[in-house]
Amino acid sequence: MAQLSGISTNLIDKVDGFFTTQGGGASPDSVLTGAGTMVAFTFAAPWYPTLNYEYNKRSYSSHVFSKLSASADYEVVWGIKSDGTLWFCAAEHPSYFNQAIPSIDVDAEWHQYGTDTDWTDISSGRQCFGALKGGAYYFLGRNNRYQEGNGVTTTRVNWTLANNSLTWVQCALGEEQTVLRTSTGEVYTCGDNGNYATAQGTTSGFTTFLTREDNLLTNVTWVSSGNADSSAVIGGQIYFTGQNTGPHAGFQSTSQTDVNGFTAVNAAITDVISTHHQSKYSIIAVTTNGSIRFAGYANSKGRPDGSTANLTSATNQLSILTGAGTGWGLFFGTASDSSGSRYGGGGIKSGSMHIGGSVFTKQIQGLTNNNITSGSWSSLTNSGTPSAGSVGEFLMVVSWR
Amino acid sequence: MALEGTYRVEVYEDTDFSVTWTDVAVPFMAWGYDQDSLEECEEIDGLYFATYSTWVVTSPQTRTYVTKTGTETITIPLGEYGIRP
Repeated sequence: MAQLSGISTNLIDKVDGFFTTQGGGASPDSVLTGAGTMVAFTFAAPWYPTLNYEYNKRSYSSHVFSKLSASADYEVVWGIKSDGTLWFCAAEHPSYFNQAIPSIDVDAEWHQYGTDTDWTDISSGRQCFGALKGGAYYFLGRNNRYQEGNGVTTTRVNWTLANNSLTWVQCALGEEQTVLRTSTGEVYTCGDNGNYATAQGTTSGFTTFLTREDNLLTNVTWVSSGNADSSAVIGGQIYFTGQNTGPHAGFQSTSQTDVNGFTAVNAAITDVISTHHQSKYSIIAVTTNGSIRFAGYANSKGRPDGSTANLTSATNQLSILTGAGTGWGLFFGTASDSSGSRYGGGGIKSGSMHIGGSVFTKQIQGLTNNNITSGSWSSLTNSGTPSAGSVGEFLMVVSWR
Repeated sequence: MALEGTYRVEVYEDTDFSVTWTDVAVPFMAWGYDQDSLEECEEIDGLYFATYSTWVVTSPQTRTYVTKTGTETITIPLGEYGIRP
């Protein structure tokens, strides 16, 4: 078999830089420099036979994204560009997405979905995705817990309009629950009511239609959702509902009791911009000055300062991780998979992309060309400006502009 | 105030564990078994039992939910909702 740069010529169109629709890219043996996107999947891509990483780095492309959302359960990632177009990159073909992602496009390369230019947000549930387009809420994938919020459990194998009765500005899908924020700062939820994750005053059954949470929050500026918990931010304060097994809600209490409805966790903390449910036992918050607050278990180097010390006591929950420094803007993590144990993640700090967590060691190996093999938190060298990232159960993806 | 009632019911090899049921008084909710398969159910002398929980409303609950056609607000009176038909 003829080869070029070690790649069989029959596979050469799979190699970025040789594949005309992908644009320029780096050699598969080097780390991306400048604008583009890298995806590290958790298995070796057969079209890169010269690479022998157990977990291969893949794919290098010149595509630049402003938002990325990796599946919590599959080798699939969706991205939104600054022009509002929606793209996907898939290395497997779950039946739940089989019309949105044609089988011919399951090649670990980026492909545009449709031609619309008004996609604004995207989030992964366990086996589904939610997205916002023109202020409307769209749903894709398995809907067995009413995550679509439309009164049925029909799997949506293509992107389907779920609701445009209100103007939605943020979607956050957890493992089996959906949390949406409106343009007027209210919060609606649907999905599995277990552990009070949907904040509907009950743990029984399912919330089948998008329903306003029972504490009638207003002026909400952020929502997030995880394994069986969800959070919101109002005036820099964190409001938490759901499973609190860390305990990680931040109530300055060692109680692990589920939290019944979005409840302010600590009135003294008013500097939070965003929250991230990194695992079912922890939460991360980014503050106005770019510090990281953390509460819960810190297994497997889940803390961005590299420490494995838990912050679960009544006095240290949601403490600022001084060792993580300041300058954090965006943060990426996932707890929407079934195990809820995805310690680690990524984030953008002072113009650099940072990733870490020993759960993701192999992906980190892939993204750093084996320069980092321990799962330790570290910055990725790149001359470009970090623009987006995401972490799924089986992949890490990072983008620079 | 809202509580949950827990029920234990016999299930069979042909039980569809994905089935859910609704209550007309609570149009934005549905209920189902806690288990996803017969293997997850308690087995006693060859009989299998699944569990599910209901919503016991002890003070009126007002909820606003959205459908494809608009927003609905309802008040749920005292009662227990979600008992399997």
